[in-house]
Amino acid sequence: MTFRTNGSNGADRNSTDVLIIGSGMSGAAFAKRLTDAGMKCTLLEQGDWIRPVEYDHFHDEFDIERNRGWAYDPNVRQGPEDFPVTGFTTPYMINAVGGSTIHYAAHWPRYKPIDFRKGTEHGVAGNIDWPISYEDLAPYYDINDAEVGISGVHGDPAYPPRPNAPRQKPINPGKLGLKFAKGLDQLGWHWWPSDNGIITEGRDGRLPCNECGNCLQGCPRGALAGMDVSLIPKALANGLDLRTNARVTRIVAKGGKATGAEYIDRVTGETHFVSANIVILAANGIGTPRLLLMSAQEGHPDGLCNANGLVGTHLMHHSFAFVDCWFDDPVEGYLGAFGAPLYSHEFYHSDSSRGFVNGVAMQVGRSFGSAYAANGTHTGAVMPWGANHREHFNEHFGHHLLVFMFGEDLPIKENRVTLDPEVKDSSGLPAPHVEFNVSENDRRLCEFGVERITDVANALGASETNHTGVLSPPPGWHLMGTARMGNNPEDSTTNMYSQTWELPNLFIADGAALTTGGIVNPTSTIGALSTRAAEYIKQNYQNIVEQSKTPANADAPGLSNRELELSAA
Amino acid sequence: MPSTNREADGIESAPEPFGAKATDLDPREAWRNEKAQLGGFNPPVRFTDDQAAVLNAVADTIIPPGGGFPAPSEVFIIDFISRYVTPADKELKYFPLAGEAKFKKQVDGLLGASFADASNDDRTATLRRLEESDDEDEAAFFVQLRSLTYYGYYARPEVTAAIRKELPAGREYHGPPQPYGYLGKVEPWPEGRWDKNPGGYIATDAVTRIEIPADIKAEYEVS
Ligand SMILES: Cc1cc2nc3c(=O)[nH]c(=O)nc-3n(C[C@H](O)[C@H](O)[C@H](O)COP(=O)(O)OP(=O)(O)OC[C@H]3O[C@@H](n4cnc5c(N)ncnc54)[C@H](O)[C@@H]3O)c2cc1C
Repeated sequence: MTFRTNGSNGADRNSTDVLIIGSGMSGAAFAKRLTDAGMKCTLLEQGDWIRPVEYDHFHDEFDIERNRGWAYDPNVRQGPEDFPVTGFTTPYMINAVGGSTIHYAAHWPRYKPIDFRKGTEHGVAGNIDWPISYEDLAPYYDINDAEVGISGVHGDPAYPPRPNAPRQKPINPGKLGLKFAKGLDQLGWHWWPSDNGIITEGRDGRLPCNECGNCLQGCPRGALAGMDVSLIPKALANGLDLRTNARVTRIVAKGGKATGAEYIDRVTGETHFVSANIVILAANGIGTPRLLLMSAQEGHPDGLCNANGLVGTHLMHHSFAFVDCWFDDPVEGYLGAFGAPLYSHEFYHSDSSRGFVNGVAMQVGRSFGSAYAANGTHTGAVMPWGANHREHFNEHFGHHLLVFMFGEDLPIKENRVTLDPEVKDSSGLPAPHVEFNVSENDRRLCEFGVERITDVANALGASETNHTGVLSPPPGWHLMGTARMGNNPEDSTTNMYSQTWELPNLFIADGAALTTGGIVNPTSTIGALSTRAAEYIKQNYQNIVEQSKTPANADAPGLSNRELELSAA
Repeated sequence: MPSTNREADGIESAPEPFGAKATDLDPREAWRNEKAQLGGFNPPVRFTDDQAAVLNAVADTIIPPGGGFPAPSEVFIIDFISRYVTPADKELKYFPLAGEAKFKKQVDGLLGASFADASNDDRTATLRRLEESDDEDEAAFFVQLRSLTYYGYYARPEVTAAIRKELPAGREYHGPPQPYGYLGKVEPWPEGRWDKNPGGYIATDAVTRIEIPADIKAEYEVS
């Protein structure tokens, strides 16, 4: 192969084989696999490292931090590393080394085969089939799972078997998980212990989970698979040139190829340009379309890769409602790894008789601390004050169980990311603007899901339930679909190997690339897709660098799983 | 230096839900100063003795002591409030969005020193009036008082100890999640039951067209 050798500090600091933008799930998976192959990789990340002392887990006052510096929403945190997001939206993301995996719940489900065939199944709204199948992606799920470190139980009959994906023992359900499972059993409904990106046995210098329950605020032990503790350290050991506080202002293109990217060093204020043979854009489902749109330039008047006008469109978040349930007996929701102890896919598949397409899932969650409980837990049911407070608190705290109503949302063209001409980030770059409306199909699906969760709560004799109803806008922790993979340059932004149709050496395999959302959290699929695209680059580097036009799916040089097995062995 | 005191500039709430401003010329300063700090503001806001007495009385009315639980004033709720109200020289951008100048004015004007000595019924009535007020500022002030009381009180180790002692469902609760976690306290899955769970999936080559509900077809113009 002709790519350069590792080592970033030489004279050639501003030219690289592969330039990666963003260090979340996607960027980290590319960085790990490509540096494994000996490529010179430079990664630009606008945020910084989060140090263990910065987490709120050791503080008495940890609960209030969810509304302050540890809020999921950059508009609430307002850190200088964040960019504002305007519009009708609650965007959730973290801008730091590790990206949004810094404080995700690390629930780690896979897509099912049908999730890649929504065009065939019904084609409603912007749904198209993926150009790849579950079987195409399965080996890469396995590789990424093995590298990240996943706990769970093999054998869920609601999925194809995955014997090559190693699993540590699952996180413990506690009274809460056992209770909800019992309710599902009473109704004869599907459930299974969740796969989680939470290690239950130490590995890679990371401490195993000690079941503290504060996963959604990140993990100072490194048990939660933030990319800052899982894949990035491995890539650094391979010689990755990681630049933090490096905010990319635009990707530069010339003669039908990406030539590199320009960034502002947020510490010095200086602007730099890094030239590269291949550029990976991994800035998430909002940051990626933003950067493509910000990169409008000669020959690309509407932004990069946007000749078809699709960049930023078809944004998906999953439809959501939260259901809080209380029981007379102790549930102890404040303890145990959050992730998800279990899920039910009883209603995953479309059933036209319900009056909508697609399905819903139930994902069981936990409660956080006592102050969070007093302030109304997940559904804003703030406890009464005054004379009734003590009795109410005593009856509810430790008796609570949360279920997420999780629905597949349709990819709607009008649900989209554009640039806000008025609002800027701390570097003076335009903020992304999001318009998102929950449409009729997805409202029906949410209502159906809330009713089914309530059925379980009732079967268990819940003393009380409270739900949010259809959340509109939905919590935007899943940012998907805004630069999607597809079948041809008219229906999508990338080909089946994640090469953008417009620039063959610009790759996108982050949340933006997901063609459909399934009814599962997206990160394991983002990791698999990115690992697969990285393997494609590894096997075809020279060919890709020489391409002047992105190959059609049928003409691409392809990917040999034989070589993959050999390299894994 | 551009002014960062939006409250003094007459910007009362945080209408701009956005990140550090383009006017933050030196990003190093923004990185150090503008991130929310764990534990709130340091140095904290200083209240007069009268204001402190009023705030203690507010908290004790919102969460009355009893049943083995201490009064908020006994566990230094005022200390928490003074760290989470935004000092006058800091930009007002963090929850619960209570800025020093306005907050003190409301404590003095809407409650007043006499609140501290009023009967519990009178204090309750005053707070209820604020809670139900049509005046947005008054209603927001009440929510700030309640949030500060709830978040502050339940963060106190003495209160966590009361939860452990008094509540069967709270027996294991120890407040801050780390460093101890809850190892050994979380029940595992029972052994070997997995073959009983129902469930299935549709294989890739078994995916076929479903019938789309007629009104959904019309809504989304599916042909
Ligand atoms: C509270 C919360 C809970 C979640 N729970 C789960 C869960 O349980 N399971 C699950 O699967 N998923 C979960 N998610 C979603 C998960 O975090 C994301 O799916 C995943 O991190 C997306 O990976 P990504 O690579 O697409 O982007 P990200 O991880 O968001 O990474 C993008 C990175 O790009 C950087 N970047 C953006 N723009 C620029 C620029 N211009 N210059 C330089 N750098 C830039 C950002 O700073 C960021 O670090 C959760 C998310 C949140 C916020």
